[in-house]
Amino acid sequence: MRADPITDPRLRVAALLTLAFGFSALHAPAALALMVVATLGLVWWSGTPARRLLRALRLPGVVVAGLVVILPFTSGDHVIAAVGPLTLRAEGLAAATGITLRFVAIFTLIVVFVGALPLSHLIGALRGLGLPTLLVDMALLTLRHIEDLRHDLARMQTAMRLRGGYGWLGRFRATGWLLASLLLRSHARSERVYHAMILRGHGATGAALPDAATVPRADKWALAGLIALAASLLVVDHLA
Amino acid sequence: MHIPDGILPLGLSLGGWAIAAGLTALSLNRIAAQPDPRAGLPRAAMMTAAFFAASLIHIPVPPSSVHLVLPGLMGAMLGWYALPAILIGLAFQAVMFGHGGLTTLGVNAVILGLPALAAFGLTRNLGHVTQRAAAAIVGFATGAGAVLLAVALFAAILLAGLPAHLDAGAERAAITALALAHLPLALAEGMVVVAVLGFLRRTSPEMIVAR
Repeated sequence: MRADPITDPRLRVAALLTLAFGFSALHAPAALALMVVATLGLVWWSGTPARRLLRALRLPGVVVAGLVVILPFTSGDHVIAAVGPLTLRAEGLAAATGITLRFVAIFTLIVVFVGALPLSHLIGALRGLGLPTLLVDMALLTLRHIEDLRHDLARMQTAMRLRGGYGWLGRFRATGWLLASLLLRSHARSERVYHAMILRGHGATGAALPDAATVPRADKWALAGLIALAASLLVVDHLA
Repeated sequence: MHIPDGILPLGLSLGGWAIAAGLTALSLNRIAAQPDPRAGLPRAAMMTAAFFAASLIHIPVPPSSVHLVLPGLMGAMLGWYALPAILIGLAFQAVMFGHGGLTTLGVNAVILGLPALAAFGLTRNLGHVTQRAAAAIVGFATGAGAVLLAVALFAAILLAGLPAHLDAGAERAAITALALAHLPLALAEGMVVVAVLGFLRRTSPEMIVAR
């Protein structure tokens, strides 16, 4: 396991956004090829296991494949192959390839930079980057509720299935009532949790922000290098 | 109904972020003007978690099944909190599951946030009706209308953002296929939202914020 490219969560987010937006602007084949090399380099640098990356890619990859699979057959004029009624066209194939490469590269960046970061640390990093307090509080509380809500939902869905006897239309009403009951129950708990947080001093004026320590020099250099990388790729794309 | 990374051109992605940031700033501004801006936080967080978990609620719509999206319910229950809540829910989905995207987070927030705000407006203006049938019609329009508006925005942005031009026939076919594919979801969500709002109206009417 090699070291993370950047240890400070705030700089990780900054690097991730810079590279992701840089990658999303690339279209030229040379720039896309360099983007793939850079992404592989980052995977190697971070020591991200390929198996974890592939497992994370599985579901979103299917969604993207569903979106781009029609492009090579419907887009463009230059036919490069024909199989029965299907004609493979160069422009559509190039577009689908570009989309796939950019998607995989940006998704890999997310896994490399914040995939192993606990969400509470990520929210702390966003607070450090100036995210409004209300959004930070909402995100923290949401995080607190997600697992509870999923657990309650699974239990109530099981109970609903066991009761059975719903017609096709009755099922919509039953699902609505299930959701409403879940919201009522969760709302009461959410109020209690939030008030308890406030009593413990959450959001008090003058409270010190965690993670306000100085940024390691190596992180600053790494971020500068990654910004330079994004800029270089944009220049290559522009010149190609 | 989430656009992944890598599909949209940079300008459209940045534009989505700019619009989402503007709408979020407007929402936060309206929330700050409320007597107790933090009062709605627990409900907003709870609804954000519900939005996040909504993909787990599958309703059989033969020959397949659909999962809930809930922009209409978010708007009806959260009012100005809806857009920040959707933004957070989408960010969590992108980071935890790779569902949606990072560069497209703004665009996706606009796709679901604008219908939520429209549902908020609808509920605020018509949500006070007491007749059962009228309330059901408003609830159905809130749920189904928000999904249809989101589908329209999704299709328009996706087709405008594809890096290659589809011919006119393929474009029409794609729009028709998208609309038809999401019609069962709109109907299902409309009926579910009618049931949710009806239940809450009877048991805990204060939870429908915009009424």
